[in-house]
Amino acid sequence: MKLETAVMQRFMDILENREELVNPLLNRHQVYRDMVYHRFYETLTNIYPILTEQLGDELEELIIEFQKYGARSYLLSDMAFEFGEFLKSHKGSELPYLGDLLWLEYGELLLLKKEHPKECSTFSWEFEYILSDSFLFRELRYPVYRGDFESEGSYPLMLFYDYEQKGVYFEEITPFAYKLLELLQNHSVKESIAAAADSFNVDTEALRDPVAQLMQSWCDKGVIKQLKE
Amino acid sequence: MRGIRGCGVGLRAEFLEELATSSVTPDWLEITPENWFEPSYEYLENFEKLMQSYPVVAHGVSLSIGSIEAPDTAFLDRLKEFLDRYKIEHYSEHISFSALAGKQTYELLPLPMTKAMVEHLACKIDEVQDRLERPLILENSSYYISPYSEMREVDFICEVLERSGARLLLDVNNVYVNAVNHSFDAREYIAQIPPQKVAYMHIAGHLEYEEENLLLDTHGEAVCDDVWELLADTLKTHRAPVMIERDNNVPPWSTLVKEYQKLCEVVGSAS
Repeated sequence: MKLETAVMQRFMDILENREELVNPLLNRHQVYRDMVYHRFYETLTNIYPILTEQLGDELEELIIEFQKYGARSYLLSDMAFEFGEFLKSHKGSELPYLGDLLWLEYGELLLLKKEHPKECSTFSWEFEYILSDSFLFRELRYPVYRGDFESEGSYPLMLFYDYEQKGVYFEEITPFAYKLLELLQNHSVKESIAAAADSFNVDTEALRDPVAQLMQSWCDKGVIKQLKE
Repeated sequence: MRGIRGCGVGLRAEFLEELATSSVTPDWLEITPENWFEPSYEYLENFEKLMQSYPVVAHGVSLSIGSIEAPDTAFLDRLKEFLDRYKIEHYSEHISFSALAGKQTYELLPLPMTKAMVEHLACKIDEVQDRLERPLILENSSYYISPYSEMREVDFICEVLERSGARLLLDVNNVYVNAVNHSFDAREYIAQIPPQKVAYMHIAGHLEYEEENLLLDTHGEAVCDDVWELLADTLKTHRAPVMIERDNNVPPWSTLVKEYQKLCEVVGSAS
């Protein structure tokens, strides 16, 4: 298979633009080169529409570089994640908002693919709740969801799956809500509220009503679900 | 093929909901398993309903059977889990490669058509079949360039089938496209394929790329008259289930159904 391996490797080299084509317009290798490039381009621009706009003409060059670097996943959606990691290592220092934007755009895809059994409707202090898989949250450094890639700060954000609209939406959350979500990952509702109140120097009792409203809104969005015995 | 009879359609998310409630329904469905490994949640319920109500063939795109390296066992295990979950008995793929040394291209690339490649494919087919616990059906792919060949495409295909024992997914559109692009006779090619080796058939649309004087196997257009005629001729000697593939510019089911009904007429006339 030495000959076959060499032939196939050369074909790959041509697809990765490692070899100049004599007359690309009349060369059928160019057809394959275009097809492969188009597959990457179509997938990446569908998953990362805002990033596509931000990168502009540079995207083409980055895709070609990424092809040389090599996509390893057999699923196109996982290839998009790999491209994000590639970008972070190649462009992360030039584009400080990159991590936030990739999280926002790839997070939408992740949530669309998850199963979302809606279980909770009314919040009650009598029950225990845990975080569901139907949302993601993160403290962003740049408000990329507003199209602002320059105002560095702290922007806690939640992405959630909307059952009615069958789509993913984002919502800005308060630092307190962000802290509470962080705590709920590992603690009970009461422990989380007490710890969050402590962090913000607020009396737990005073938080009872606003927290109940917040928890109800998270029930409605499927962010938390009742823990069943 | 057990459970697969008559005329089928390639299932696409674009018309999944419409098909689930349509009065005109295909005899069977073909799905691309990789597209349904992690489906969008909004499609899941209808997809599972259809999987329960139709005979299904899984037609993969990521196996890369011609790659030099051993098959990706993680991929095969995931595929087997999927096929088992939906009780899909029939699985087909392409005679091509899409990855080399672990690097993916996500396109079906042409293999060198040599005796050594025939042997290589036969070994890999065995490995894949053992891992999946199912026979592998292989499709004659379209190609725009032959990177190296010691033999004609049809001889290469027949040797792969003979040597491996696999059956063929005869893509009639691919035969047509390759015949035009590489100047051979499509009917002679089909006549050389042993009818008992054909498990099922594909037809699809293609695009004429005038700048290159080339037909492109896009699956994005309606089936052209020449391909309908070639199918009708093929059915005189090769009796097997047939399906329509449509992967790009996917129309609503209410439009595609007209092409499906035409397929049923062509198949019916050949009976």
